[in-house]
Amino acid sequence: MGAEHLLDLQDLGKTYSTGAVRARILEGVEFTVDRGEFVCVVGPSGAGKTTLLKCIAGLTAPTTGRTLFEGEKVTEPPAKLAVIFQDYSRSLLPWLTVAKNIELPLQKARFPARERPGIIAEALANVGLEGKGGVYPWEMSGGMQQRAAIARGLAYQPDVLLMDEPFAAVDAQTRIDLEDLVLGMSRRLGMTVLFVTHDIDEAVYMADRVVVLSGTPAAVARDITVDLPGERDQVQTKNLPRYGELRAEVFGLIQAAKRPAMQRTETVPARRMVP
Amino acid sequence: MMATTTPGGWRLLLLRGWLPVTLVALWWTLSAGSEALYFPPLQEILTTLVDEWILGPRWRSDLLPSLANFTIGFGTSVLLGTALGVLLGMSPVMRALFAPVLTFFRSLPSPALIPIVLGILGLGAGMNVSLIVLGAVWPILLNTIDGVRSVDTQLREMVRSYRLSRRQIITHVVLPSAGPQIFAGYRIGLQIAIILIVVSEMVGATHGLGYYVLESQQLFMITQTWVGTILLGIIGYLLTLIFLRIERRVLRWQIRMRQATGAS
Amino acid sequence: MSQVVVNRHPRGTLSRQAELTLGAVGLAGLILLWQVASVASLLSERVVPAPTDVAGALGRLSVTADFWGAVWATVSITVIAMVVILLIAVPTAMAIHASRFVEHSTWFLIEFLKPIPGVALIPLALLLWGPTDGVKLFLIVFGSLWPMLTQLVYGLREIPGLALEMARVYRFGFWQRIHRITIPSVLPFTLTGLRISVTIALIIAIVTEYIVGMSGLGSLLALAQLNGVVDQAFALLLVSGLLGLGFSGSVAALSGPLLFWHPSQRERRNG
Repeated sequence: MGAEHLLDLQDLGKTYSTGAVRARILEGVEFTVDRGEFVCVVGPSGAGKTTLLKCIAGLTAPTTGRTLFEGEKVTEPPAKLAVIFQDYSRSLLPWLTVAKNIELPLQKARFPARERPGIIAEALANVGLEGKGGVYPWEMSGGMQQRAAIARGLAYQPDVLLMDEPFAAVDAQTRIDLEDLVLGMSRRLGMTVLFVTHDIDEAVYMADRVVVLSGTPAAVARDITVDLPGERDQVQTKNLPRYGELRAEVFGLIQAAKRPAMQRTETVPARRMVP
Repeated sequence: MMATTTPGGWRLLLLRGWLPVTLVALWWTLSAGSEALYFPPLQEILTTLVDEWILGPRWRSDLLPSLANFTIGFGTSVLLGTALGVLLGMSPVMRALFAPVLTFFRSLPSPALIPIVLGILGLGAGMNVSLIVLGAVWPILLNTIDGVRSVDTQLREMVRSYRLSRRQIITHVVLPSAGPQIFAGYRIGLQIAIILIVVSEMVGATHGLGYYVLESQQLFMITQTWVGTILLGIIGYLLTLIFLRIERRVLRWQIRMRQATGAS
Repeated sequence: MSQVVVNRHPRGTLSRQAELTLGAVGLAGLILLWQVASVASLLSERVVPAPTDVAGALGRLSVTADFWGAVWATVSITVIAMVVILLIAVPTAMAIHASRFVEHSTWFLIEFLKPIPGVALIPLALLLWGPTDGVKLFLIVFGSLWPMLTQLVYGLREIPGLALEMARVYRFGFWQRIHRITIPSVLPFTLTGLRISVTIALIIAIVTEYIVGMSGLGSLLALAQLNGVVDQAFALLLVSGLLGLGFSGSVAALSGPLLFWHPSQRERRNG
């Protein structure tokens, strides 16, 4: 591949207009993700993280700028990119078994029919759902459903996995389990992951790099390299002084961004906003 | 259905059965030997029913053609309504273009079409089937459109990000997701189709069950009028029963999901 | 095509304005096409008259007292039937909901009567009681009672348990419970029932009038057919459709103020 970066966001901006009201969500967002990296995008709730992820995935067209994926401009979701959505109960099809859910996106030429059962089994094993292929999503707990959704993303064999607050809807204990699962999986498989979350601890704990979004419209406040040991552990890592410092840094950035945002209104009449 | 306090087996049968059995028994005894012109004995009605419709030739000459017309008419409505519904549901422009026409036909009491359909097609099976289709297709079409439109946003994004093909989208995502609503449309369509097969045979046929009842009444054949009415009731009931069986089978995943999650 | 499905908002990105414009264009286009086909003699005027002829027939009809009398007969009997249906369905549904015994005992009877096409009873009812308004009312009520009853029973069953528990915790009185919880929860189901029932009621009214020749739109249709005045049959079809629209529109108009809190209505306002 000639491209320097796997993902390259250039001056990404997004404005939604509903009637006469315009809402600027993103402005001049720039960062890159390299092959094999685990990058977390963190920002306060309502900061436009999901919009950013949709722009990157090609689900929404940005108003300004562009995303390059493997050197090509993204207009539609690229074939080598998978998205894990926040709400597993709405992204898994309840009328199909877990295995069929995983198989559905695999029904194309790059996955020959005879290899599919193997791919599915392997994906299920990778998320700790061995032998659960015949079960319907709603027969499983929330955490297991999200694992199934992740397995679907894995089986698709993407070059990058985009995850949109994937653990927001599960309980705290399951969340910890899933964090370690995704972390271990990405290390083991050398996956590139772009992980969006509002949880500072989660971001610092999991990421190689944390991109802090802030402001209205949101822009990159800082791009922080997480210089913690590669092998993460829920207790040990979180007890490291460096972990505390990084956490405080991200927290400070987000708090600083929040204050002016409270005074500014989010939606302003259209005419004023146009320069 | 209600798992909590529904008694099981014979007790349920007894609870559900006592009233209908009592009513039929009352009818039987009270009408036995009845001389009243309009209320022949139930025994006589049932004997005539068996003689004419089961042992006699009528099941072939009147019942089967009625059922065939019904099946063709309702089947066409289902196929046409679902296919067009998916098409219109997926295209906002087409939908907007046809919206006034669809709204009109959905609200139109379909028997108002009788003179026109008769004028175009004359008496016979073609008229019967057309009237059913013209009446039953609209609720199916409109429910399908609604069902297709309300496919979840996140599902749409999932479909796009995994680049599913158009065929996959329709068969694996859109149709199952709209399934419960589509079937609700079928149910209304079925009800209308049953009404219309009777009506169309009353006014636009020279045989068939509907023709038979109205003819019996006009010829003052009282027992036959009772027979025809009861038979129409039984057939309406059976058709609905068959439909519900099919619905339960097709929407099995949804019923099981509801039981498993307790969601409504 | 897959583009079309997903590129748009679930409710479509068309603005209300665009939808209305397209609808008007579609309707006008269809009528124009019909007129052109008639003028070009693609449609035999003995079978399908031109829209202008239909409009003329409608104009001639609308100045006759017979026509308005027929419209009134059909409308009034349908409205009365709806009132009777409510009077029967509400206590029946409550009895079924209140008592397991009643529910089970009537189960088969209702399941059997429900799918019987109301029109099937026309000959028998005529035979027994003759062509009176009472018979017409009976036929309509019998044929269109079931959707309402089913929806009411269903609605009573679906009253949120949490709301009832809340009412107990705050010690609501009987009327307070009925007024604040039961009626609002059952209302959406009632309106659904009303919508289906009124559709079927109108069908049965017109069929009865058509077959029996009792005053109403149905008998005018029969007359038009008998006399072979096709443009009048088309005009009456139009009127029947508008009548149906009027009834379903009335139910929809009730839903707005009555169900302002319901998700379906909120969505409508926002969308």
